[in-house]
Amino acid sequence: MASAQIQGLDPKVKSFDYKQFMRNHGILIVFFLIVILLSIARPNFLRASNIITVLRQVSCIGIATIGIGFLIIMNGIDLGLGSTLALVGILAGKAVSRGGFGLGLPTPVGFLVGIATGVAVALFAGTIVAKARIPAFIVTMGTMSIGRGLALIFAHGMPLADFPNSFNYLGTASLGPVPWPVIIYIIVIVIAWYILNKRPLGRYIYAVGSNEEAARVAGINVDFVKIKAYLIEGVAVGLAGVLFAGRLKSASPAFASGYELDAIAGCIIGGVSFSGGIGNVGDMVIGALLLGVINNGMDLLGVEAFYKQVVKGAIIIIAVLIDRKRSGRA
Amino acid sequence: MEKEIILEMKNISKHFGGVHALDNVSLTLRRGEVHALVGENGAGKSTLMKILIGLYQGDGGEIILHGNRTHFKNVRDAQSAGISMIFQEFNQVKVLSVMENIYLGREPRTGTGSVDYKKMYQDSTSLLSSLGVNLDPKVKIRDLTVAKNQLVEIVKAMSLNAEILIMDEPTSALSKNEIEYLLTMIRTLRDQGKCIVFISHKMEEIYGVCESVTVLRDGRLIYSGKVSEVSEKELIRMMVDREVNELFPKQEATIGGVVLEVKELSVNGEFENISFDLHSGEILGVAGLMGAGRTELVETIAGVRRPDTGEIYLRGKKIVNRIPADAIKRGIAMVPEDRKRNGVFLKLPIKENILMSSLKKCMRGPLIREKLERKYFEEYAEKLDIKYSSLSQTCKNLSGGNQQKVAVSRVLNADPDIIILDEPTRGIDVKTKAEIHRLMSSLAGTGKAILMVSSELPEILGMSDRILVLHEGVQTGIMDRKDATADKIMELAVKTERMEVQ
Repeated sequence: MASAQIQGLDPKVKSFDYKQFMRNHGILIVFFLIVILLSIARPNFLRASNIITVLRQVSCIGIATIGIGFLIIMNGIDLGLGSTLALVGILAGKAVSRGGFGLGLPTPVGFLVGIATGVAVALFAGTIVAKARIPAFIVTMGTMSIGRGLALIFAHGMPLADFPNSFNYLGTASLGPVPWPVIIYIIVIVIAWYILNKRPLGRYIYAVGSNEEAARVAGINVDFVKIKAYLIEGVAVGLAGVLFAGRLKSASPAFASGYELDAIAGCIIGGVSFSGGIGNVGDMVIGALLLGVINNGMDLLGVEAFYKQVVKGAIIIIAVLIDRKRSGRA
Repeated sequence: MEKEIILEMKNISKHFGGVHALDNVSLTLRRGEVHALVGENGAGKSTLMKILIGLYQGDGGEIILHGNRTHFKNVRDAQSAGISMIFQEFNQVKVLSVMENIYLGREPRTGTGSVDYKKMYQDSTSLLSSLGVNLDPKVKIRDLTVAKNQLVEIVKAMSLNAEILIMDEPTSALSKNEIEYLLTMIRTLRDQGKCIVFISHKMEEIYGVCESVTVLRDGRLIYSGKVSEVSEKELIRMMVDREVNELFPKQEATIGGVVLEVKELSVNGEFENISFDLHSGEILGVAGLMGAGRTELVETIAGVRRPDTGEIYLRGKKIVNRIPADAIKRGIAMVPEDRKRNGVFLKLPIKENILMSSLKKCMRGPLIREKLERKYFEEYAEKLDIKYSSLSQTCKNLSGGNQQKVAVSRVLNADPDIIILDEPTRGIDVKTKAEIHRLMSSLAGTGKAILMVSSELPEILGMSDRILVLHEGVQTGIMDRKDATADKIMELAVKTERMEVQ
């Protein structure tokens, strides 16, 4: 056997590859650079209370980002994510609300209704994508509109409030200094990592994203893998929706409009390839964190809301450019 | 009296990497003749023609047009010199009309610069009628049959004032009547003084319409002369004859009982009524020309396609594979023909590729264990001598030969009893080729049954215990190793009349 192979098996023998490192961890360096610059410009940035605020903001959308990340790795997408978040909030809120249209059911029922809503929407989209072979972009463009419409119908066009404290607890309270959403986010990260790296399903998601036809020939039940990936995303979106509603102590049918773009951007900025097959949970986390920090930084620097939109858009395009370059399709 | 020479290609050579695709090939084209260009798949016909139309640049040799030495930098160059080629896959815009396709990229303009549809319509109408084609110029391409599309391509070539028209297997997708029509059209063009290069495998057409013939084999010129001076048998022999070199030292394996039985299997439009059985320890070669339905047949057995009629029996029990996963569970696994399309995952690491069909083996409880992954990975990396730099290296950065080894490893790792190899050595270097052949022999030795599709006759003859020959989706013969010769296989592969149905 050639010695190159034996060498290749031992990572310690390999010399440090600067290019490779930048390619894999470049975004991490950008992240720390921004953190350092911000903390110099605004010392408030590094205060514990601000960090906790950032983390709290990031964790809800971060959970949704992980959900959509599974789909992007699989070369799928969910444009209906924002609408589903709103629908989840409305249905879960309606279950527990003590106000006008509310049913006043116990909090656990509300959580279940919320997550079930996320799962139902995702299963609907996923089944059509898998079985009817319609591009995910088109199917989820449909669910985007359907979800928003259903949210408006169920809410009678009005925001919902008057949730019991127990329902708001997870969104607002903390365990010691750590907010509950952050803890839940960490749990989701661990589970997602486990699925992507240790379960066959994770491997198959990469396979379908890399080459769907090859996956079929290799004996992967591609349709099932797709549906299961959507199912996972549904759970994540349901969970994020319930946490959002609790944090805001209210739900509105107009809520989370455009959040799918934040979630997609988080993945892409982190390094998940939009053409599928490449990316991991760490990418999705760092991408969401980076977006959160930039948002917060612009707040601290007093950047007007209008400009924030422009900056965010520019960052997305730059991230995709980097992705193109990385995968050699520039 | 000899006809006037339009164009000569002299001593053309072309290398692709280390492969000699063309070696000192010459071709003379004359006015008003139909010139057949024949040879096995990979003999160099397409390469030669692509050099002629400026798609490739030759490494050596010259092109002489009307007595002047010339050289085509690109297709446009060749087109303006009067040379057009009609590919098997037409380059047409399906949503546009016939006339828009004919004048694509050189539309007549009005004074204001917009497209002059009136003139386009008039021009194309007169063009069509001058060639005797009855076709409305305003019909959309997507609404036409393949045969009509081909006519549009011919008309387009004529509108470019082509003197030399190259047709690459123009009749492969046509019905008998359509072929007749096309041949009549070719004769008309010939009588108008055009030269037509006719690439075909069909003896009937070569003898029916061609005057001259050039035979290529392994990138070398074997024969060039009048069709009337060679017999069909001689022509076939020239196409396939070669010294049998011992590149493939096949070891004899003991052939056991029947494991797979295919009964009257058909997929509409691809192949029909194919029946054969496959024994353990046997290598069954599937031979035929392009478009014979070989890949479609093995894909159907592997569950990639579903049969329309017919049955497959595994050890006497009828099976139905809805998807490839079903076939793999039953011990039937395939290495596909086009590894980039569906053989390997280019973006994924080698290890992931090799284990993709057998992840269950690497699991203990609910987890994929890295230790087991490494064990199986290393076993096959060593067995097939796969060259890699690190465990995380993606398949994209591997050579073609190594990618093929990865695809084969994935299949072997799934522990199949029946291994389907579709063009197992296409586009890979000689050394890897020999390695794969050695591996096939040893697999057969351990009792695996192997179904191998190959376009290379030496490979078919060297490796197979029995050989199944297809022609246009019809089984034209099945023979034992000891009875098989290149001539016999080629004769069955180009057979024009169908087998009598008993």
